[in-house]
Amino acid sequence: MTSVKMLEHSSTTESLQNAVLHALSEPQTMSEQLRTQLADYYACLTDEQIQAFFTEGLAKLEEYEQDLLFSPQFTLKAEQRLAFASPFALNAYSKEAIEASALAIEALNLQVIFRLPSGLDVEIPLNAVIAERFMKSLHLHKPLPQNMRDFIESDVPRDFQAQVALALRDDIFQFEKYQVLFKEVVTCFTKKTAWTPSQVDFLTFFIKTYTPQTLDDLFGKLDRLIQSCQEDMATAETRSYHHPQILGSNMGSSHDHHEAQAVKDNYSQIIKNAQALNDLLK
Amino acid sequence: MMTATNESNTQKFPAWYDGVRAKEVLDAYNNGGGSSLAADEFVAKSILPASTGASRDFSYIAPELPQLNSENCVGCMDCVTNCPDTAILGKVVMPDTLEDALAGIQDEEYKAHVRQQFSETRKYHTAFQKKHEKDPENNPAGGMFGIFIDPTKCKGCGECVAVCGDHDALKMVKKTPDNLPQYLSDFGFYRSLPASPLTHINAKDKRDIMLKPAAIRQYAGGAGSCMGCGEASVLRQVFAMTHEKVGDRYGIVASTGCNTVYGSTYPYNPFAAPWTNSLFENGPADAMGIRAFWDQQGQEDWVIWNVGGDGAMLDIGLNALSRLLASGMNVKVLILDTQVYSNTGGQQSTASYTAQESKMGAHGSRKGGKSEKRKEIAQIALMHPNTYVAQTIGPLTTHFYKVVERALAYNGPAVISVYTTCQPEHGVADDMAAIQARNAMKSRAFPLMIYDPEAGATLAQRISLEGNPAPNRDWVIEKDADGNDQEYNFLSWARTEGRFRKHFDKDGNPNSQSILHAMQDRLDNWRLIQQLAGIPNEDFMKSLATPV
Repeated sequence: MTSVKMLEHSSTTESLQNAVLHALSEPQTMSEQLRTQLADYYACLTDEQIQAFFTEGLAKLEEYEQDLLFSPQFTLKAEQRLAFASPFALNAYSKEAIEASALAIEALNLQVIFRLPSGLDVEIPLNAVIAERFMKSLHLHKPLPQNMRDFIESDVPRDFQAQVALALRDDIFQFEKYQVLFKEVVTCFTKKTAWTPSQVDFLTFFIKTYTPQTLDDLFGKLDRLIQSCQEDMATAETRSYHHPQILGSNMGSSHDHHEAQAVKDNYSQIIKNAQALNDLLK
Repeated sequence: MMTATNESNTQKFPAWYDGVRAKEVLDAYNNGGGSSLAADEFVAKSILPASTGASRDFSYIAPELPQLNSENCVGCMDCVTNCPDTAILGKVVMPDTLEDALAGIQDEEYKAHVRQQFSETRKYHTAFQKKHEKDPENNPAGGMFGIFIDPTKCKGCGECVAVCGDHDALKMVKKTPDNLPQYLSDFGFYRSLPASPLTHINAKDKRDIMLKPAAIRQYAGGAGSCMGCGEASVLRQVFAMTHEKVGDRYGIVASTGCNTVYGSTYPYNPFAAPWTNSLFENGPADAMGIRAFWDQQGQEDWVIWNVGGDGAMLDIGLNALSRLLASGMNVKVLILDTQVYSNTGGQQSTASYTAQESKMGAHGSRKGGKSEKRKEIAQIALMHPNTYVAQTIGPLTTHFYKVVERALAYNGPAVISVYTTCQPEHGVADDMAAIQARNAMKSRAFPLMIYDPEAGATLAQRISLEGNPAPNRDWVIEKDADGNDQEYNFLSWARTEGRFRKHFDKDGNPNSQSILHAMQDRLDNWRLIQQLAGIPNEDFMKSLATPV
């Protein structure tokens, strides 16, 4: 993982803007969801129809329509966000600065290139709608409290600093009690040198979702989560199940088959994460 | 008078309902005390008050609930549109109204949490705000948009997350006693807000219909359908659009099938409109009677829907349906085609695909599933005089709403046959109703088709295959990661469904003649409707030109 400290010298809005420009200058593989939307709403079923629409039809769309159409393509998922935003994770960016940056990108009159499966390259203007969606999906405009930034720099191993800094931009960590709780748990992690990315993800997710007020409360809520998973595992054979897209986004586990076993595996992973957290803290 | 508790379903019932008694019954059922109730007048009269499903509490069912990341939400309304249970709802609220409502929350942390459920989307905020800033007199300011989950309706299917997809604005999280109360509080806040302002409901985007309380109310949820049921989301959309066009001036005749079982489980009724259940075989006759009566009463502008599954409409009630279509009466028919008798445990119907295994039709490993070919109700229906016919899928919102609007406007019989995913009988995951319906369409298992008798003088002018990918080819050709052509055909889709599993080896290769016959049947059907639509098939033409 990239070290945050090493890249601090380039941590300005301009460098973020340049990184975004660089990412968007790469030819994009069109996502299935974008293709589906082009077919559903604009009757673009072939590469040629897409090319014609991008050339003639796109400019007629209002900004909100472009946002609806392109946002699935330009929204970074958690892993992509971590990879891209790590160099900027400890910096402060206001919402206004991000929006201004998106407008500055638009003013450059550049194009985003989609490389379609047929080999055809089609272009769309790199406008503020796309740039802003990409940048806001990084969540860097959400504030990282100064005391938490100090804590990260002093107490979190360098390799995990970016991940923790990004996680702490969630709104819930604006509240002191969750900051305190997070610090308490992370300090415990650090003492035991047992850091793994999935533990950090699980911890931040758990605090956000179940809002434990204290360490004792956290233990109790972990127990109830484990119990709830165990109950559902016991009946997994008789109930339905989700497909991998959901399993993959749920608490750090992933599976690629549609069996009742997948439910058990999913909940087993949650239990494992919860028990690991329990064990670390006790 | 009884008022339902759900904001989205707020409705006063007619005076002849015994509201006090209805509430007593609902409370008893919600608390598990239904069997101790005294004999019920409603039951004696075979009556369920409208929209009582709104009062049903399913909060014990869902193992997981959707969690919103409002930062990523664009307000597309796909989650709201595709939910089968009216369990996820959208709201536009003006900023000052939101602040007023938030001011009533004392706990600062909870206030911040509720505020986070709203975002400034381009669709509902920026697009309006820009115009407002230029001309405040004539343009409303931007609104805040939020998505809320009703945990008493959500069964945890995850369909909303699946259709949200790469927007990454929703994910499923484990429900525990610790996070359920917050969902209830959040939904209480949603209900406390006024209806979304009409100024912000986008007339171009049909999905926005589901922002209107009256539209949502047409199917209140609380029905006993399975998790992720493909039928229920179709019913929601059809009746939302019907209400949009004719208001309360419509009624429903339901032919027996799954829709009547989950849609009338005493004492819960998800429907707001007058609804009656007839048997498998005579729903169309019942609808004709109501049509004739309404016409006699001068209610020609009222819409009557006859809803049935493939068992009712293709098998047991085909005679009655044919009679209805031949009559020319202005009755709208909605066929929920699951290709199986879903409610009676899974017997094959004439809509079942060749090679399809159905639970009650299984004959062991030596048998190849259904041996007959599938009956095509759309082709049968369009040969009736002056009948509007459409074949569509729910998640293809533009096509779907277009045909529903046209059917409603058409002055005569109209049939809309909709592919509806049935998770237990198809052997697919709970959140795959939309994905499997799309792929069934793409694979030619269930092509889109519109036959509009008023669209021209020839069959080719009247039949449209718009919306089908590669309409002039046998199958859809896609590129794989290496740029090589890959055919997406019937087998590509069939191997993703449990009902065809026995016909594939562990590597997904077909291992039976039956499944190859099924594929040929789908190709023959597709080529037939291409010919009817006057669309030359270049693959077929090439095959004719190739010497044997």
